[in-house]
Amino acid sequence: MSHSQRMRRRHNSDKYADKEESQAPTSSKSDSDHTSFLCSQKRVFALCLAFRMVNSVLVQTYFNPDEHWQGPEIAHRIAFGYGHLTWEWKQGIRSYLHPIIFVPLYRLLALLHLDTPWLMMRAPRLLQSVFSAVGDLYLYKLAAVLFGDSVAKWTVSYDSVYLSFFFFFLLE
Amino acid sequence: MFEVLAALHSPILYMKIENFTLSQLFSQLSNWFMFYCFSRTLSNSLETVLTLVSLYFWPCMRPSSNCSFVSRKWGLAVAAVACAIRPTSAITWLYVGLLELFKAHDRFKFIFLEVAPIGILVLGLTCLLDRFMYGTWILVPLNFLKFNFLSAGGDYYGTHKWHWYFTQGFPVMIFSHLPFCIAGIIYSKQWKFSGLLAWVLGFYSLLGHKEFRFALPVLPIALMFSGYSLAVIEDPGYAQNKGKKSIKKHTRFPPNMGAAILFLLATNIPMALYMSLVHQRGPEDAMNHLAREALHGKVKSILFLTPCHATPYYSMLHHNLPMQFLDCTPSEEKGVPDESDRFLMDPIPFVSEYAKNKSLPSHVVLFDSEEQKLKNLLISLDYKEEKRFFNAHFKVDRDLQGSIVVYVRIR
Repeated sequence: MSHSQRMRRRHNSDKYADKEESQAPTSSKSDSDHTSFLCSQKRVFALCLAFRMVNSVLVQTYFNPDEHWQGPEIAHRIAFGYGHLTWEWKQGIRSYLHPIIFVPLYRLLALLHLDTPWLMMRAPRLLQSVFSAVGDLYLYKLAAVLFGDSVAKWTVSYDSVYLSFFFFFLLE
Repeated sequence: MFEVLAALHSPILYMKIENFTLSQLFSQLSNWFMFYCFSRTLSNSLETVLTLVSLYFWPCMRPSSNCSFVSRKWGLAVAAVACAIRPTSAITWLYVGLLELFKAHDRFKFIFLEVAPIGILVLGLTCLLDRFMYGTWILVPLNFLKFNFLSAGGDYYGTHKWHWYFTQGFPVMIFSHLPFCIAGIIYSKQWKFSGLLAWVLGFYSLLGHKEFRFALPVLPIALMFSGYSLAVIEDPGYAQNKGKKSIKKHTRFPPNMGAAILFLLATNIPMALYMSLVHQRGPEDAMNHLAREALHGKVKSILFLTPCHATPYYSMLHHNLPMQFLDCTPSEEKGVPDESDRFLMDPIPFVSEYAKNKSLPSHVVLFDSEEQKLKNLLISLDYKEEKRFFNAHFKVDRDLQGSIVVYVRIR
């Protein structure tokens, strides 16, 4: 779409919005609230995603064996043909549904010859960080429903305080 | 990388100045345990994501006036996937489902036209996937329930007192958000959500084997309450106006609000960074080192003389080399020590025996707690220390594992 077209369309939509406001002010107001909420949702998601991705790279410690042995290890076996199956998999008390998520990721890394030690270590957590950001967004949406969006609308600010702390820390 | 961070830095600071109002999300993102655990590849992390997405869609979990745009079917479908990933998620959905059944007017439709078909569909697809992967028909949720509930198989990994989640587990996870969470539960009067919190923690308390990560799916809910408290501190009118901002505009940040934020950040940031970057970083560093050595063809085989599953494995090594670790499969008989236990009880005879019967690996990985005892034996078997990685400042379950050491065979 050319610049002028975009301008015209925007102009039209403004006119349309004006017209609607004169006719039914309440519905138009809720529409614009809805749009701004959607906009803020995008911003919230972008920030959560940035936060969780930085977060995932900063997670470099060993917490629980299952984070490797019940997920990426199984996925590695499916994607590359070798990997250890713990006894849970011999007794069939685990579903492949979770590990299977990492298989396309591993295959893609191998295809692009990006399966370096660093990426093999970080990529599964980076993938989970994308899911985590979705979780954060839905918590935000839930809070907006429960407590009114006037609080949730302004959400971005405080994670940014935290984010800036981290960036400050890193830049130092 | 720093340029990218710096570029991100400025708009973020700008936004910070632009709007200083409190958020629910602040709690979620500032909590140390969410930071520590949420981006890990545990099934609990994905279960948490699915729980949050699904809760958003359930009509019964919303204020009654706010039910447009909601799709119970979406809520059900996502909840079913959560159960397929971790069958224990059913505890949450039992509560939500019963609440919906109690509140809904179309109970027949709910059970027979929504719960049953969606449940069967998701269960069927998961079974099909497992049939394909296992090579035989296998009903994973049933085996899982049998193992965890009926035979208490999880108890093999240790048990805690019944009140552990309430007195230790959950307070550690929610940490300095705890007072804000309690105040939020009381003042927000969202009893359905505080009820869910109590139900899930209460149910898990009945099981002998308890872990922090099991309570992860309900941690965000507790943090949402903490966020509510912060919103009330920031704008006391908020509570009375039920979510509408009070007319009085705040041009400046209320001082008690600043104190609360500072308190939460000052407690959570050091904890999050210490736990994520320092505590028990040895296993990942050691495996990353071995992966790089393997890439250069310097590794032939590896033996892990650590407690079982103490390091990542092929997923991080990414080379098809022979590796061995000490087995700890739960045995049928109670009280019989497994290989991993026998090694930890008396490492020297265990390793001498191993050296006699099996060919020696090119690399050995072990923690310094055992290394002190095995050092002379390893040297006599032609090993030398190749690399030592810091691991921890304090002990968790066993002796202090201060560092993890990689030994290489020189002959």
